[in-house]
Amino acid sequence: MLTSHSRRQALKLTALGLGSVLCHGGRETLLASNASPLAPRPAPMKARAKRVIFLFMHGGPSHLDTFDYKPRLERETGQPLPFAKPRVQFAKTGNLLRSPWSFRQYGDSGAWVSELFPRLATQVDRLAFVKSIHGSNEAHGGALLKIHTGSDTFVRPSLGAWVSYGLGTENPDLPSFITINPSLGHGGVQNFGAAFLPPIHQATRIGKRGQSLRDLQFTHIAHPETSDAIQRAQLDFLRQQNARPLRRSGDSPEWSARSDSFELAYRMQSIIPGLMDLESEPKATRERYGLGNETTENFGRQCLLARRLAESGVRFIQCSHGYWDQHSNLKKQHAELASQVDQPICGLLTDLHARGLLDETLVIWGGEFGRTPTAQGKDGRDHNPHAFTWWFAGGGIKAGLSYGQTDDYGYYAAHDKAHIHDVHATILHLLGLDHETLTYRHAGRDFRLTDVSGKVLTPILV
Amino acid sequence: MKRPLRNPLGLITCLVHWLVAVSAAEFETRESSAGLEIFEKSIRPALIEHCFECHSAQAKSLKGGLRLDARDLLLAGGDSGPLFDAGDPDSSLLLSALRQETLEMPPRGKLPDATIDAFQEWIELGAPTPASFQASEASVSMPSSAERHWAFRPILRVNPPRAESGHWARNPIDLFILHAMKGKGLSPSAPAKPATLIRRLSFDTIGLPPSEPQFEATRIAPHPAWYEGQIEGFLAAPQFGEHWGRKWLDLARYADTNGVDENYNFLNAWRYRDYVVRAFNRDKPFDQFLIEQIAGDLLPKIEDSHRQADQIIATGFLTLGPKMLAEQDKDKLLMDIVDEQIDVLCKTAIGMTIGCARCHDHKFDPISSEDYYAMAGIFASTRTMANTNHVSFWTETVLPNPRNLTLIKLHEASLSERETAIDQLKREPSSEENKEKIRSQEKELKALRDRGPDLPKAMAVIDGIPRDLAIHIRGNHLNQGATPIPRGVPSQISPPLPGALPARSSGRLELARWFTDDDNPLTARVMVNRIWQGYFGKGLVSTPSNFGTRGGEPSHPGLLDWLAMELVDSDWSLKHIHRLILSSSTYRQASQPRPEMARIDPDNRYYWKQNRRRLSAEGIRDSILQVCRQLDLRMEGRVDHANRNETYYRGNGEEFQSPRRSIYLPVIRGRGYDLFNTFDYSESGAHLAQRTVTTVPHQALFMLNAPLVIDAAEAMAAQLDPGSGDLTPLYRGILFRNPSPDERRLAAALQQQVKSFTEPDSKRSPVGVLIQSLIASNEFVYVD
Repeated sequence: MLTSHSRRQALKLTALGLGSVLCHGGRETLLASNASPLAPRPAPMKARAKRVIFLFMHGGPSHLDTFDYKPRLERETGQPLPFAKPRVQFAKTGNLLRSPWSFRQYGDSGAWVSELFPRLATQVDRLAFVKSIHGSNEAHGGALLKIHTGSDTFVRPSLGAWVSYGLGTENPDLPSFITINPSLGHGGVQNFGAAFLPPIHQATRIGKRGQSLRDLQFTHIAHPETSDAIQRAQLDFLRQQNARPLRRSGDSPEWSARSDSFELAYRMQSIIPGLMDLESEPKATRERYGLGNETTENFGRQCLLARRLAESGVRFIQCSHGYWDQHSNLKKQHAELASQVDQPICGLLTDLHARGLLDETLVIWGGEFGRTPTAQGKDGRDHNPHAFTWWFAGGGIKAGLSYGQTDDYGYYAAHDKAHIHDVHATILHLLGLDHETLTYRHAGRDFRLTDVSGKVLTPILV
Repeated sequence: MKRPLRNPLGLITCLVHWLVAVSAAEFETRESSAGLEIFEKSIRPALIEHCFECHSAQAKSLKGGLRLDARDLLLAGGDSGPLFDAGDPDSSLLLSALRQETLEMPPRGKLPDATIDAFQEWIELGAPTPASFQASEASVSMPSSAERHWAFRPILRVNPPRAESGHWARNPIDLFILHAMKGKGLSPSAPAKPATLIRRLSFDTIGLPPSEPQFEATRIAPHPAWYEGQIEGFLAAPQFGEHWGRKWLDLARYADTNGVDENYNFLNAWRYRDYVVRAFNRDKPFDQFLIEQIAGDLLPKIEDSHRQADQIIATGFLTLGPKMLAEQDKDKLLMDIVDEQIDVLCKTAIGMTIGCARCHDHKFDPISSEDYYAMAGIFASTRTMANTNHVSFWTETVLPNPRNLTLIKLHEASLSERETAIDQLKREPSSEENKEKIRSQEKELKALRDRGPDLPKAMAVIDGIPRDLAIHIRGNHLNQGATPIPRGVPSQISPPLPGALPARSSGRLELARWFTDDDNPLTARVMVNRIWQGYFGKGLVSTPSNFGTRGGEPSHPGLLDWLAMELVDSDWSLKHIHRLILSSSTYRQASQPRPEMARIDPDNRYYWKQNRRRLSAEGIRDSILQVCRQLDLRMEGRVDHANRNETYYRGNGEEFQSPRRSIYLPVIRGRGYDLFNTFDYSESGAHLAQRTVTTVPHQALFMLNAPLVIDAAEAMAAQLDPGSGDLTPLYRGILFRNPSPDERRLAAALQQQVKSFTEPDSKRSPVGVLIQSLIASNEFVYVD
């Protein structure tokens, strides 16, 4: 409770302390200062990971066609589902439909992976699959909000915003939470917003779904007609202009904080464009992520940028890829989508590992729900929030593990069920945050990401 | 401390005040709420589980003459004397008994150390208990004594304190303020200079900088009545309704799209926005304003079609919330909508968070699940959704308008014209081309018929079939209690309803009248506090939408009640309250820091000066455009959606390019205007009681690089006489003062530098860069 008080007091001051510290010392003191809302904070518990890269597969990739192998589904294809379908369904579905792809076991762990992910299959010994995740909302918008904010009923802060609130950023010149190419539908910015947390914790967005990362920049990071020399002159002018009334009427903390925020902005301007410049990476690295290949170019760029941001101290990075919503045309489109991400993800994992970053970075892969084992039309599957698979890799994760099971056909999570709240609790836990005590006082009560539920999935932890 | 405490919260507030030389009101209430939390989390459960068997009304035989099931009894102690002095755990009998040092309690075995530590911490914090643990006869489960919390007690008709010597006080507000300062070594500040005051008054009332004549008038020593005249001028300006209406729209979570899962356009939401602007401009009595928004459709019909239309439009308040339109569990969808309506209405009108009671009795305020479902029944008996299709759609009502009949006729004429044209085509010799024409025209005809005549419609609710709801156990609509709860209002908050709700209507009108009853203790207090907040940056109660036991306490309870009574007595005239505050000496004070006062009261809790405040997102944008002479002051009207369809919002942000005031830019849930997001207005999906004010580098980046700022500055530069070089009009136009000699030097140096850096064909000009820099300066965004 008391720490949460002082955190809040600090937050109320926002950049105040940050400002006054900057006057005296610059970066080192700034990092030591605890008064900025984004100043890095030690995790209250032992942290196994320092940051998160969330590879979000928008639309709902089919667990049954990727990682959750169901022999009975294969054998009994065309027959009716031998138990009841859920009370509420998004659309009508027919009988069981086998996966068009064959499965094989890989690695020492013997993890099942379908033909869709041949490259990722070589990395399974680094992954922990959780095959029993379940939510409740059967429509995209609600399901996206549920996995991003924990609530499909109320406006709540997103996972990344909670992490930013809890841990701050390692690099004061960069935002703590960045989302790359997110969808602006299905909840839009709410999926990476701060809701009632201080707005500084909302994600900084780079581009949106369907845009090529090649031509994108941070918003307002530069103005084409205003040269660096002009801006330097402007900043000098502003510093003196803002100091005038200070002499007249004495100091006020918000006044000097605002003056100093311009210096910080100027530093961001000088760092970020270089960070976004992926051409500065060696050719071999770019190829490792699939750059230079039309199919993998865009998601490869996202993954490579994610690594660069992770390296630079950004706390929570989300990449988005879509649109995995195959009510029909499953065979063709799931294959296309998987081929766009398979190599970039494999590149990201091996690159993080090679740089020694994987141990301290939590990589998460998953969509907003899974799909039904029953067919929609001849070649499609409907939404299924009752069972889906995510995998985790990196800091604190027990590699080479498969946790949780669905029923024989993969319709419902059945054993060792993992609710979305449990997944959230686990992510926070890995970052050294306790989902029960990471709270924010709003409208007379303390809110948390996991509401009144959530248990840490200890079996998937080292 | 043997006597039962009349107001434990107040006492603890005082204690903390003495002990810790930190006087932030917020901090104090947090301390006591920390104590309350410990009570709820550890103390109460331990008492129930380990103590009540022998020490409560349920005890078969009471042991030691001690009862622990109510505050007064617990404090009184038993045969062995009092259990503790609040705030002093060291000498506590209770703790020594729990530690089994004196008595050994509980006899069956020592409690876990963590629980005993919790008792210690709770006593240290002054042993606060919630209202539900007050009276001796109270049951342990349900808060029952609402009257003990200040906000639930009737509004008192308070006489202002008597005037002391001196002439500072201009009206009763000042007497209250002065009285509270007494004996604390505090004194009020001198009035702000006229130029500062006019800028403050202008931003605070109309959200824009003053006009040149208004500003010029401050330069010659103004007549004493000058300021009063200015107040009337600003209160009468049409921009007043826009500025204060925007604050109301925050409360009403106004938006032009649905947000959440299916971001449909709210094509008719703007009518509600304009209604709010009109209501504030015309000083519509606040009780009527509220009644119309809750139940305007149920009020007697009015002949005047505009006024009748307004009554219908007003209920848009209830339908503007985000809805999970694609939720396939339609019963859940409908209950979620009801919940959202109750939440936004109670926070807005009476400053109560009632949503908790959807799943369980409110833990801190006297709202039971019965109360919640009594109110939920009213909204479940109201139709907000026109259908529950796969993607559901909300109700819209055709507005009365003398032109409607004409529009219908025009529509029919246009249909029959098209039918004739198609018949004509069919008579022509058949060909591929002819077939294609017929096909496309028939398609158009069908679309036209489906669309219907373009009659004015509003997002509005209508009454549905009245029904009572049973309690949904833990908020789950699939797990309902057996008995329906009769529709009604929160039973613990006075006044009681005059009678049962009508069987034939939802009961919304009766609910609305309950909210606006002169005896409702919350409604008037909540609203005057919001107005106060608009003029000082914080309310007399620091939690404007939470007047419950976990909210803040009023810093000036007498003043709050006096203002609330003024509101009721003036037939709910809001402008009367605005006028009172604006004409007070309290409001007119300078905002300069005074270190000797700040040492005593660092948070200006006692209003010994005005507060320096940053402009809102809208204020920043509108004044940039205004000082650069780019702002379009046309009022009201439809939102320019990039794509005017009834389904998804598909705009690309072009609609934010409009030069109109910010209130008329569309509010797009899920993809808000980046300027709004940057300057702390990012969530339009939920009731917003107070915008946070942050200072972050993204805001500086915006000022340095956003085309909005640069284009406005360069456009203004282009209008200036290039030869003149006179900086005075610039500083007066942007910062409302003359430049000092060193500022002139500074500005000249900047322009010189820019000139030397820019290429001849650059779109940046030295004076444009100067204008942009003045806009980016602190002075521009802060109101003193």
